[in-house]
Amino acid sequence: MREAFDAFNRGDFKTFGSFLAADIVWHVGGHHPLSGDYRGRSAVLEYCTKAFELTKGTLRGEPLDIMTSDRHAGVFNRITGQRVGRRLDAVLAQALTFDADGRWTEYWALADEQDEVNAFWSAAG
Amino acid sequence: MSAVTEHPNARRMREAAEAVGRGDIPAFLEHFPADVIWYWPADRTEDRIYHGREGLMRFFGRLGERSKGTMRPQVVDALASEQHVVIFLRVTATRDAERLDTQVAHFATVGSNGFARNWFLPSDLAAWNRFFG
Repeated sequence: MREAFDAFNRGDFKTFGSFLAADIVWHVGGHHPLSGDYRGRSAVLEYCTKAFELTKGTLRGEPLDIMTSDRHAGVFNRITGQRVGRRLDAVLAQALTFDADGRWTEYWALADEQDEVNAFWSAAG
Repeated sequence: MSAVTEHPNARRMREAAEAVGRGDIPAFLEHFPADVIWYWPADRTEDRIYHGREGLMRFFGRLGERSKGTMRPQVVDALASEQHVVIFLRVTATRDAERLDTQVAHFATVGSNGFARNWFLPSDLAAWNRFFG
C-alpha cells in the first residue's frame, strides 16, 4: 500500500497502475469537476494524471494510518495540494478492495471537509 | 481475520454493527460518545454531518423507516489499529419491489468514550440514494 502511495506522490503512474486491477472501479465523491465513477485502469490513471496536472504536481497523500486484510484496506490519508491560489489540506477516509492477486478492484472515499475539497477542485484555473 | 485474533477495537465495532442488525439502536449508541460526529456523503452541506447521539438516532431512524425495518448490515471484514477502525459491511434492504445490496465502509477514530468521529461510506452512493432517498 505504501509503495503505491509513494508512486502516486512522485507522479509515477506506470508503477501506480501496476497496483490496480484492469477492471478497477474508482468512485470520486463530492460535487466538483472530477467527481464521478472511473471504470478500468486506464480511466483511473487518466483521472490521477489530470488531478496531478491540475495541481502542477503538488498533490500529495500522507497516509496517517493503513489498516489491511487480504480483502480490504482502510486508509486515513491526509491529502494536500495547491492550485490557482488555493490550498487543499483534508483527511480522506479511503476504502479499497483487493482481488486474489492483491490488486485494487474498487476505491471509494469521504473527506472530513468535503466542502473544501469541492471548492478546491471547482476553482477556475 | 478470526474473532480470536481480532483487534479489540475491531471487535467493538463489530458488536456495534451487530446491534444495528438486531435493530437494537440503544446498544449501538453505547459505543459512541455523547458528542459523536458522523460524516455522511450527502448532497447538501447541512446533511453532511450528524452531531451527537440524537443525530445518530435521526440517521438510523430514517434508514429504518425507509427500509421498513429490513435493513441488515452483515460484517464482512473488521480492521483496526490503536487509533482507528474500519469495518466493511454488506448492507441489504428491501422495500416492495426495490432491493438494495451494497457494501459500506464505516471508519472511526477511537476515543476513551467510544468511536468519536465516524465516516460512513457506501461504495455505490447512487444506489444507496435511490433506495433511501
